[in-house]
Amino acid sequence: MKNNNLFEGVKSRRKKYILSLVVLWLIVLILFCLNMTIGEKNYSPLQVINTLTGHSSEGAYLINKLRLPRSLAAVFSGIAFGVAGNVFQTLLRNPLASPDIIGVSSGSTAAAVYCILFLNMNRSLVSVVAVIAGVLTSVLIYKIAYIHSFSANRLILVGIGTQALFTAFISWMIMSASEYDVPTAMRWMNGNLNGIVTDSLPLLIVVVISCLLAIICLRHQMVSLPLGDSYATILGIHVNLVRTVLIVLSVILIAFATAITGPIASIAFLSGPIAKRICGHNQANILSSALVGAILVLAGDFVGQHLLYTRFPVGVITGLLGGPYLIYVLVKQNKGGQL
Amino acid sequence: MNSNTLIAKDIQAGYGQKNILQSVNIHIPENKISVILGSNGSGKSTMLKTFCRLMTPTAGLITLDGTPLSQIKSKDIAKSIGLLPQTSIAPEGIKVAELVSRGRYPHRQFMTGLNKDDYKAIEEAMEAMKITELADRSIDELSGGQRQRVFIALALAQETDILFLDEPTTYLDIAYQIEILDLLKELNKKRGTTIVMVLHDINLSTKYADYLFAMKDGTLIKQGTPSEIITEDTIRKIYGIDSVIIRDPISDSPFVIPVSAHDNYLS
Ligand SMILES: Nc1ncnc2c1ncn2[C@@H]1O[C@H](COP(=O)(O)OP(=O)(O)O)[C@@H](O)[C@H]1O
Ligand SMILES: [Mg+2]
Repeated sequence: MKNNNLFEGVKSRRKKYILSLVVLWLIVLILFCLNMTIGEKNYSPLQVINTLTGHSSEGAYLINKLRLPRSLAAVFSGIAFGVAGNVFQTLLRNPLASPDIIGVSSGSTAAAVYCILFLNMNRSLVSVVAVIAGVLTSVLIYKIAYIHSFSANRLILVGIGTQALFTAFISWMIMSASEYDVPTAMRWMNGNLNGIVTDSLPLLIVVVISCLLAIICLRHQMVSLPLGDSYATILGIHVNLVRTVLIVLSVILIAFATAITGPIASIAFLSGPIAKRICGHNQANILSSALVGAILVLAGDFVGQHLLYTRFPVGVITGLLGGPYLIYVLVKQNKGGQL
Repeated sequence: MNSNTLIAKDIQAGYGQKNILQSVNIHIPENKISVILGSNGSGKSTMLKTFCRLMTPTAGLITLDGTPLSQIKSKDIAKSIGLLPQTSIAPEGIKVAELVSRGRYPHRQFMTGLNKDDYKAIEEAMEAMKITELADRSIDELSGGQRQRVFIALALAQETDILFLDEPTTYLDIAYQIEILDLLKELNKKRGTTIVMVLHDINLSTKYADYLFAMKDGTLIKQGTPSEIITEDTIRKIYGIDSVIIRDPISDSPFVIPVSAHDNYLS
């Protein structure tokens, strides 16, 4: 039969995707090991495992209380930002979309900075307030974007406006606060993995894994959304329901991750496009953008901690990646004759 | 093949405050090919969208085998009613075979991959549209006509009993127009698929259609077999032009020759 190999391509692309996932997963593992072993004091991987499993007390504080929470926070916030960003890019059919558009991270950050500077709240309470503020902000923006029917353009416009407003508000708060509190507030400005406490991690991990699984369950619907709402409806997808659920899940992901690490710049924005670049556009790229997100945060933190003349928060390093990417997209779109 | 009696009763639909469909009554002829004729903006696409639940009628009722559409699960409707919209977005970077496979969504189980039936349906759809050679190409690298055939294949892969097509031949040269209409005729004969399409070429319409609907300003002004309704009078009513009607020497269907102002022809 002449069409024996009609699906060869489909199958080989599928295989390539799975292979890419394995490779990305290995990179995450390697970076995780690097972050666990290298630092002020270097330990061998074996030593780290011994300490983690309680067979040795060598470097217990450094490994168990500092590096482990830091690396886990990097992985799970990376997954959260990466997946949520990819979901938004898919929903809005725009490679430049990111959940910041819906104001989650700017809402969380503004609330956190306010709580730190003016209410002197402690860190865990700040996180709670940040989650709530992020969710509320996004609900408000989504409602506005949904006035008559859903409009991606309106969402983007309202989102950019709100973000600008919050940024101005944050700057004003920092200018009028006492100098003493500003460094604490600044950590919220550009995502930071310093001083992550072990207590906050289980919740983050549970939330990220549950949202990730829920989004994976919607992957068949997600791959049809780029065809447009009409096609998705004809195929029997409850477009509005699916879109709302996906947005809610992404907002939760971003809100929780932001509450613990602050808004780590560019991860949400970069993970999806990088994952698509590596794995192609034929699947929903949920797991691939999750892994790319984790890689970016782990690598960014490693660079910021160990490879430069002084220590930088991870958000500063990843933020540096965002600019060149924007220029790359602009150049590419210009070449395609469309903008 | 029994879920294909689609009836609209007194439906009205429109955009915002503007009402477009004015109390339309249609019983889609089962297992037949119907063509909707009408000038630009007469509401043909609006009617197809309403039948395919892309628009909710503001009044009236659409039933599928006697059950109102609003009471049927969306995925079940998707197994019975398919649509090729007038315009389609070609998502960036996606390959043709994968795009056609999107048509299998209503048949797929919750967590599984594509099964044997899915592969068979995709393969048949792609063969019917002669796009098997394009399987591994990106959709955004194709010509307008190739894209159109990919999107028709997507609709075919959905394997619905009723298939609506909004101007399926618009981007195609005459050879592909004939080829696609032949393929749709074959689908109709082999599987009994009910086909309803909007065409702008009256003469191709009379050649392929068992039944014609004529629309004007959101109402159905005529319906019947081509020989019944294609008259000089109907053409004038639909398009506002004079014409002469002869017989197609091959198929004996009515053949419309439009009269130009330069023809010096007095009817
Ligand atoms: N999305 C829309 N919003 C508002 N008006 C529309 C929209 N689509 C179509 N219309 C109007 O509805 C009328 C019928 O359009 P349509 O059904 O697309 O006509 P046809 O397909 O017969 O050319 C036209 O007057 C058109 O301007
Ligand atoms: Mg139309």
